Amino acid sequence: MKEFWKHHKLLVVGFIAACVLTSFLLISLIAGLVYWPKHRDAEMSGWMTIGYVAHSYGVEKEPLADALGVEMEIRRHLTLKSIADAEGIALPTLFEILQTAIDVERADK
Amino acid sequence: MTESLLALVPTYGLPFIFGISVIAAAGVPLSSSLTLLAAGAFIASGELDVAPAFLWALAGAVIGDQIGFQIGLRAGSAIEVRLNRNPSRALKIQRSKRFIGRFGGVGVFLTRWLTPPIGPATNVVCGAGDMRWLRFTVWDFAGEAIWVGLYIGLGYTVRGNIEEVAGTLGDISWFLIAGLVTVVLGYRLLTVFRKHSQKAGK
Repeated sequence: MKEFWKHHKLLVVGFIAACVLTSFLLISLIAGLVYWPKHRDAEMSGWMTIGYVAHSYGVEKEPLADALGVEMEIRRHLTLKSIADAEGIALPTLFEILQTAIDVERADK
Repeated sequence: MTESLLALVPTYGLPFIFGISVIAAAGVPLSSSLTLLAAGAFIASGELDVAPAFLWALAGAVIGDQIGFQIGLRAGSAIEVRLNRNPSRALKIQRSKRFIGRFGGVGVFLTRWLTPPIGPATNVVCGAGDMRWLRFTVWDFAGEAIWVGLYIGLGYTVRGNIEEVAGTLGDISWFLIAGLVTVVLGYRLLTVFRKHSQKAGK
């Protein structure tokens, strides 16, 4: 056994390291899968569009666009960040307006 | 970084999806998986059309893979000339080439969508190992079609936090890669150990 260790140190150490790494990755993967379903609502972010938010919250986009006073047909490719900039309001304020509109839509259903 | 990248998907649309697919497939560590998931979600929300998004992403990925393959091909032959001067190294190169010849096609296919983090490195290795270009390209095309379809499809279906989705998919890939390395090393260890005990038994 000692002889074996002497000649194949690298292989043994490599194998053990790979085992440890694989188990670690498996655990973090399982942890992620357990965590995931609890956080399904996407947090709003500046890169999203009105349509994107509407889609991920399962509501129509027109009421959201109306709440922000945006012409949906012309400005559908605009991100929330650029809408906030154009209207001169802070991004968190815009999120609040959208959230209120979403809550109203959901309550109506 | 991620957010400003994602903001470019609705703003620039298809050219951006194409560009990022090329760059990421060529090996620059940019999250093309997240871009594709976002593209899927933007298709679902009506900002992008499905067929052009799929085709542009696929074209980009295939072109990016060709870049990696060509780099491998050119750099490989230069390095090989030098390494071949040493007979034992020349033997190892021959063995690696045989390995690529046997498993290269399936390897290229699987690394496209099952273990995308090692995809770009695989392209370079296949190029350096003189894999036949047509064979590489056909398997690559098939694999990338699955990868693009899979990620756009997931982005389309999964409502909600796509960064979480991208993270989980990445975790799965890295777990598979580490698992594969463990299996290969374990097998090698077993073979060496058997040989060793046979020798000791004599």
